[in-house]
Amino acid sequence: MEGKFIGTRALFSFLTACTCFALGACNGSGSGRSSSDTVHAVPIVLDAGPAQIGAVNSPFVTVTLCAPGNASKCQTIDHVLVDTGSSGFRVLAGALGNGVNPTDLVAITDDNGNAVVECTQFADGYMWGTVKRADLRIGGEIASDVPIQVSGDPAYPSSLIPGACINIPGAEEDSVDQFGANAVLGVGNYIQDCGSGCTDAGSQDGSAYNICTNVTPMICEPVAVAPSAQVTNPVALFAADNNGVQIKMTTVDADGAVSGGGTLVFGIDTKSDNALGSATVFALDPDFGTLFTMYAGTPLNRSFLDTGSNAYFFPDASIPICSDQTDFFCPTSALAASAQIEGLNGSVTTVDFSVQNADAMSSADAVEPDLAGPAPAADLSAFDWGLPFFIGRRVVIGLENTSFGSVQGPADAF
Amino acid sequence: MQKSFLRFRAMAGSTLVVVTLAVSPASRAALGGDVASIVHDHETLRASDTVTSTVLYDLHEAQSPAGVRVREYVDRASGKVFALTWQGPRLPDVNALLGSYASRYQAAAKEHHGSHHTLSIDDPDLKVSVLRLQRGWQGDAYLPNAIPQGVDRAELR
Repeated sequence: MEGKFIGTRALFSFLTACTCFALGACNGSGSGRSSSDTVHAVPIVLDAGPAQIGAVNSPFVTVTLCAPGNASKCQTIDHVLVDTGSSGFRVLAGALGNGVNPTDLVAITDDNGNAVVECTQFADGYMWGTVKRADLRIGGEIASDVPIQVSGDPAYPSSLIPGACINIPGAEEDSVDQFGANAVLGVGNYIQDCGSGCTDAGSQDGSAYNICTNVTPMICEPVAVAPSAQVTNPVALFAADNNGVQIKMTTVDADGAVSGGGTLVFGIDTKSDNALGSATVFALDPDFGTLFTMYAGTPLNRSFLDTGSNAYFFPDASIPICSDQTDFFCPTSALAASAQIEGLNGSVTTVDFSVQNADAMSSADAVEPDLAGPAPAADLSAFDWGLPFFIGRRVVIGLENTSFGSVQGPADAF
Repeated sequence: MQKSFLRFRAMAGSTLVVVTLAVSPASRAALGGDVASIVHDHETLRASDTVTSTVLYDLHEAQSPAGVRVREYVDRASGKVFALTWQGPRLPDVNALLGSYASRYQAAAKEHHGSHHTLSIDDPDLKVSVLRLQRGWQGDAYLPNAIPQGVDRAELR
């Protein structure tokens, strides 16, 4: 087992060199790196999402996925959700099949060929699917041999999902319809999706990584996985520009727009045009990836900046909740509000925002800068600074194990 | 750096653990249930049960080896769980903790649009809040009509 692991590692740099060429070939632009913005950035679109979804405030990019080192097995995937609230790339199996099939990717297995299959839990449900290695090209950046998740991989059906994975009574999100995107690109503040919480064999319960036999009777067991084989934030595997991302969303009219856009920039202070500059840096609680928000006199100490949330979500019992869509607020008239965001390093900034009636918003709009909704009014409270917060801003998401000025990551800045 | 690629638990033993978790019967669940349901919840966490008593309620707290903390508040008069909170690097068995209310959470999840990281139920008879953080989880659930008179909601942490 140890020998195989080391062998895989030794092969790594070789594959990286090869797949740069391979990916360049499959995109018709194998000219190598330059300092131009096209190399370390990719356009973000805000639109209605994959067919029939009707997404709102959902930032999408296009990603090219290839079998490791194989330029003849590539697929361009549109409507990949950019998510600063998670780390790692997850593709819905239903979105594959147009150049790459799940079987084209390299399974992460034990010595007996048993596959690593992951449960990914959300507040509203869970994903289930294999962990495989793939090459990813995002803009001009290339991450080779990245462990990704193939959600809904038909080789390991949902009948195998462990009890601990469905210990939250949500929905299975292994289809494009249910999840709302063809894939999710987790560019959060962590390098792996689980980290040290998944490396201790004695404390795994099946709610994260599992090892599954591939012959009848198929059986899945909880398993500990080394960080190098966990689903990994592709940004951390770029050759350069690998210390985080910046999200720049274009301002749109407060009453909404049919579409919008912006740019996902890779790297912080790695190129002439991605400087941290005058942005204020907020250190995050490394145990949770959260910062502090004070709203209406209430401390919300588990707050976060999340492009994967499509509204401001915060507790305020004084704002009416819509009767027909209880995820959102429906104030009788537009509200002006503000809150203070504070990092663990003591940085404080006041953020002003507005809340408009969700029922009054046009169903044709894919961008609504004033969309907000209720969040837990508990002691364990959060202000979920969703996509509207990012509109008209440049927001920096800094990875763990890197530093931003005098602040150690994980950190955010804006 | 980890020395081994994947580290296994003994196949047979961990199968039994998984099966135990999978069949946690909702009928024994906690919210609105009695003390026996709490003991069951804590067994699935492999945690010990620490009880702190006040005049109006008993606070049962479980801390699992994996760092999951569950607190369940039991009305001393009725013997029923009226509130619970949890936090930690992973979820406790929320299905079992919510008991007969789990189906309402599931319905809310299916209707839910907007954030995979937060979900809340804000009904007159049931409040549930769940946060999926980048690292870890937090959540609480309580029955507003079952909070003993004289207990401040703010102390149910």
